Amino acid sequence: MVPTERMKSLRRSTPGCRSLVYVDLKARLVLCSDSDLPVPPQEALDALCLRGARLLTGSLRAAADAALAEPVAEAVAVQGGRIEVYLCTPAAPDEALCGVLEASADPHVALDILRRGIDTILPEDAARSPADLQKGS
Amino acid sequence: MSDLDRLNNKLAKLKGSDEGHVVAGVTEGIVSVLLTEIEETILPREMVLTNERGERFVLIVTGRRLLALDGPGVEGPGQADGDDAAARIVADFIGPFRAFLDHAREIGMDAGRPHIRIDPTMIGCSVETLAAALAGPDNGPSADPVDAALDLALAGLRLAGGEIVGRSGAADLVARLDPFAAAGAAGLAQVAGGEADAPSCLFLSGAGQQGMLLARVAFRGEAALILAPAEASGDLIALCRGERPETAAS
Repeated sequence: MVPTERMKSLRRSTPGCRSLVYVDLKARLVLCSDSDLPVPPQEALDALCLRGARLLTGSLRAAADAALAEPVAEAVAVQGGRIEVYLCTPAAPDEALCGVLEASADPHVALDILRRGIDTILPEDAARSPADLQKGS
Repeated sequence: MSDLDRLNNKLAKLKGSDEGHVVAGVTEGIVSVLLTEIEETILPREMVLTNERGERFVLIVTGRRLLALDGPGVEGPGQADGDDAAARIVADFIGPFRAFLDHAREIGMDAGRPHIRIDPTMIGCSVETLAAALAGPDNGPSADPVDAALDLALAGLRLAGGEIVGRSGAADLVARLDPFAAAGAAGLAQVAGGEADAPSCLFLSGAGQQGMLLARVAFRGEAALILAPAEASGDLIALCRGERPETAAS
């Protein structure tokens, strides 16, 4: 199964998940994605990736690590009926999974499923270069 | 899949049927789906719900607002505007419309372009107002989500216009929040965005589910920056959904 198929499977098994993107935080690049929108606008997925990168890298991340006294692993944003979740990939510090949930979704249920699935998107023995991922290898 | 297919599928799943006709008994689920649909609807749209007796309720939705609601027990549109219009829509939604959902054995759902011209000056009623009214006066949102967030915190800073205007909680944790307010709070606000009339919440946490979370709750120009137990995440999310936190309700 290629990464895009694994993303589709993970999104569909996550209740209320509308869009899911797997991103390279350093490159601020969407590596693969899946969405139930008929034609997901790439700009929206790129913006989700950018918000994930701002939260999980750089000075904000360093300050949050210090405040929590442990490394940040997850983030949840709720506003105006929109829920976004962000999860660092445990096996790859520069990668993360970002998702958009519908307003009625339970983010805790979604996070639990995504936590268990995040490492299956790109197994450790697979290539991790952005080019390889975008080819779906 | 079209929006109509998606909505009908949702309703079918809620009622446990595959045929678009559904069995009543889960009014809350249908109301939740409808509120989500209203929140996501930009262009004018007419939603028609029909029960097993052929009685119909028609909802006109546009711009993420419910503009009109018509059906059995609902008075005519009249001339009310602004707050009056919102109050009447709320009354009809929690009155005749909710009773219609409660008593229906089957509900069919259809949606399409409205058959009437939409007056662009109509204000209607927002999802936030509907959700607050559905929660009821005893279960409504806290008067100030920022205050409520600080109540949930082990330690917290109150920010107004980006400046710290109050500190509360354990001194050692406040000492961790102060440098974050200087170095990271602005970035957090940038990611969270902001709609002045809707509370927003953004929280960060570590890998362990037993630790603390760092959260920013903002509403109407003020914000709480807090360190709270991980278990508080559900209450923080409830604050921003216009629900009353479980700990506050108990």
